[in-house]
Amino acid sequence: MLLIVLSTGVIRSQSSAEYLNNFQTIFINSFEKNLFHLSGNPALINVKPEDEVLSIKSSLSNVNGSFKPFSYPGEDRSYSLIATGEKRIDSNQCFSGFFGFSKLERKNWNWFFNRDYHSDNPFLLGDSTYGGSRINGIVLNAAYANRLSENMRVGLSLNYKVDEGLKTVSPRPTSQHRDITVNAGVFYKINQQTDIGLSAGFSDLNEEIDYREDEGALTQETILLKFKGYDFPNIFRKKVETRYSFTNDYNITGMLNYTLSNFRTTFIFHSGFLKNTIKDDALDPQSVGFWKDDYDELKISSHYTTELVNFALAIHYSNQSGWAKFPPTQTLIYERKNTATNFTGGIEHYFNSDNAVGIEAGVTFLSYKENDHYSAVNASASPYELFVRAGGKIHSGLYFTLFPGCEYLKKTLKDSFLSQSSQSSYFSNFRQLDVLYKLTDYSLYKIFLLTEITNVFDGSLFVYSDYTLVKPLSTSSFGKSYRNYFELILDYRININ
Amino acid sequence: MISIRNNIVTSIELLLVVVLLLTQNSCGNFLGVDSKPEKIEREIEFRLSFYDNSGFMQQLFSSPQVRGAVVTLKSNSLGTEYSFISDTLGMITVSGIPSDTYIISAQRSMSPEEMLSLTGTAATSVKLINKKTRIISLDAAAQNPSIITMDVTSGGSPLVISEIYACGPPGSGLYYHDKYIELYNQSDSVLYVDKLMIAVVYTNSNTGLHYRDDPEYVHSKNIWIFPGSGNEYPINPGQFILCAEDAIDHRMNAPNSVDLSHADFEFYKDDAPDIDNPAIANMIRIYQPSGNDWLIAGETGALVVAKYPADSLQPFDDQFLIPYCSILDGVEYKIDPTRLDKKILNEGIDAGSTGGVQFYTGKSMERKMISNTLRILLKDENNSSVDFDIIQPPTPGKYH
Repeated sequence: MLLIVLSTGVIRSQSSAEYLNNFQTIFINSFEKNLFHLSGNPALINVKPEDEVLSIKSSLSNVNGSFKPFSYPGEDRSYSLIATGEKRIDSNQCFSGFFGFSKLERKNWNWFFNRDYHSDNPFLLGDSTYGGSRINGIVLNAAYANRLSENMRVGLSLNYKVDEGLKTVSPRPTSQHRDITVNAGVFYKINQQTDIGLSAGFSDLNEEIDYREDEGALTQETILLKFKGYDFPNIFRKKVETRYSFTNDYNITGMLNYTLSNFRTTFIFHSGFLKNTIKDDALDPQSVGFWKDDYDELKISSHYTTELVNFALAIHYSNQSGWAKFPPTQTLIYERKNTATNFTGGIEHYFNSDNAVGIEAGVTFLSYKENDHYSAVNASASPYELFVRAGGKIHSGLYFTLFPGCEYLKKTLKDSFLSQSSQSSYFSNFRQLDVLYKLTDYSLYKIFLLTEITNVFDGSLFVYSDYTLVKPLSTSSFGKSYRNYFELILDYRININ
Repeated sequence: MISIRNNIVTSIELLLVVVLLLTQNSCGNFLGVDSKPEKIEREIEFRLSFYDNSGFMQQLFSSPQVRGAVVTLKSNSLGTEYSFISDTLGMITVSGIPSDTYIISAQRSMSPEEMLSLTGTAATSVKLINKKTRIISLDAAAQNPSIITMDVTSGGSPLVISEIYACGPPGSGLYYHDKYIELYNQSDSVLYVDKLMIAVVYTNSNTGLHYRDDPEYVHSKNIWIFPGSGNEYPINPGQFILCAEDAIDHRMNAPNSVDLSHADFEFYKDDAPDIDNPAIANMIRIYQPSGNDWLIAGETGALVVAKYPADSLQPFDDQFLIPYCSILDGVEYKIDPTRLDKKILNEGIDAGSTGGVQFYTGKSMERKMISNTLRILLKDENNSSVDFDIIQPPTPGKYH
């Protein structure tokens, strides 16, 4: 009986943490899982006998409310059902993979139909109608890791996703997506104190959007809107169009970890870029847009851990700079640069192996600059965010463990700037909100609860839910609007060892 | 087994070094990523020079540059118009506009005093216009000033196509019998439409065949003429002439359609089950081998009005040829009017294209008004991209 409790306790302590990623410094995963979570290096996949699980996870998330950029849907709902397996092949090799279904429903959405509308890519396509869309897809993943020597591990992971979209109002455009992501990595233990890792990733994402004359559109006018920035869309009154979007992402991640007794410091550097080429017209595809985004990240986290307490400090710097050109004229039409520097300090107190409390707080300094040359819209701001998060781990009875938590974040704007001249009504009446959203102070309130129930048909059941409310400053352009975020996850896991 | 594993380890360590070297070099170049353009949109300055081919400017100002020309640039993809006046060097400088293909219209009216000095007579209505260059591309590649030549012209066509309605009404299924073409006399004298020709410009939508670049002729398989022997059907100054596919009140069949029962002429195809309003004079079919009625395309097509003897038409393949010199007016319309590369009508007749009207939307294409003092004066720069507006509802027989 004691063995069973210990065994399930191990599963609990390692599995539950993946739901607590609201925290940066406390309630973190086991060392290797945390490194994997931070770096994405597949060489760090290390399935121990007690980690050999099969799981089936169902999730639902819903976002609604009018505090949003104009180009976002009024309501965004997603469902997924994913089956996962993790297995040791032998003492050196392990394998994990998942297969799942996903469904996205977007409601109350003006104009747009791009799946990845939130990427800051200025080349958005839409039509003049208002309504919803849905995207159904399947996702596959396989990851393999091999311990080549006592000190070296290598790994490879592959993600494959396909989906199909449909706008549910006339002219009913359809879309198809195919995403492939490959990561290869190596992890090397230099000595007892020092580990290094390096991984490289590649993504190939294809999107095809088709406007075809459907029955509903036969006697109804179709107006297509092709944006190259925030304003002055090209307007076409035609029913047939095809848009191709080809995105490639290349990145590398380096990692250095140093451990000395109870002290551990990890450096992670992540750098890469993505490029996106847009082409229109199925019969004679013409390049109508090119977008490139460079990004760099540096994460430093230090932990001092004893049996009773975990002190942690994390610094996270990220930098994104993107630009877009219009290929027919070879002119630069859009530039942006965003940086974020985050300092977080946390402390976690362990009452025993099953009960703990923790709190972390920090500040994030943001810098945002955007020059939409094509639309003659320039904006910049230097906001900062103050936040505090707190949570606990409470073991109740033999089979129940609760992880309640909450978060408060306040974003305050500093040195904001917006210039525009002779804009059309497309900007002044609509897409101006895309820019103003970034120039708005807001407060965020979040609560979450993870419940872990063990010994449910020989497995464990995780029930996770969170709710977030984001409210802008009442004197802002968004007035007394708000945005709700809700998520519910049911995850059943059974050990197969 | 251990040696194999050690070899693999060594190989991976070498691979790591290679990856590091690669990442230190320019990844962008290695992966063939486009370079960031140096030219920034709206920060490029374009210069256009206007030169006179007629010699008038040379005689008046000892320089061929056209000063005082009124220049209009219309963005082909956005439709935005910009106006300029050329300086004493015959040049305009354009900045702050997006790169695009622009439809350019330049006019320099010659004053009676200037004409008196040049020719000895104080002629009016003489102007210099850009006959040869109607479309220019303003983009980063345009390093040097673009040179636009201007030629002399006197007056314009007295009879113009003032409105075309071809798409059909909304809300009545596939009803398309209410099409019409409207002509307007914007001269100050009475004209006669007798024997004037209305022709649909030929194109094969399946093969893409067209004769836009024919140096002499418009090709047509759809030619009708007005009745009369010469002086039977007058059109007064400022009067509209309405030619209907079927001259009936179409609102009986389609509530959102138009009343064409008061049309001046009707296209009646007597060898087909076509509607004939006996109170309305019928157009005379010269050649239209197919269809049950006068057929013009709903979304993409071109029409010309010509003054040419029907019995002098030359055959070509299964079409007839109408000389450019006989064309009084021509208008092209396209579902995507920005695709000027797909024009079917010669640019000398219509440099641009109106349209962007979809089937069954109840919209028509109407020529813009310049003034309405003594009588309505319509814009006629032989460029329907700038000459026409889209209106709704259609206004048969009148201006909106």
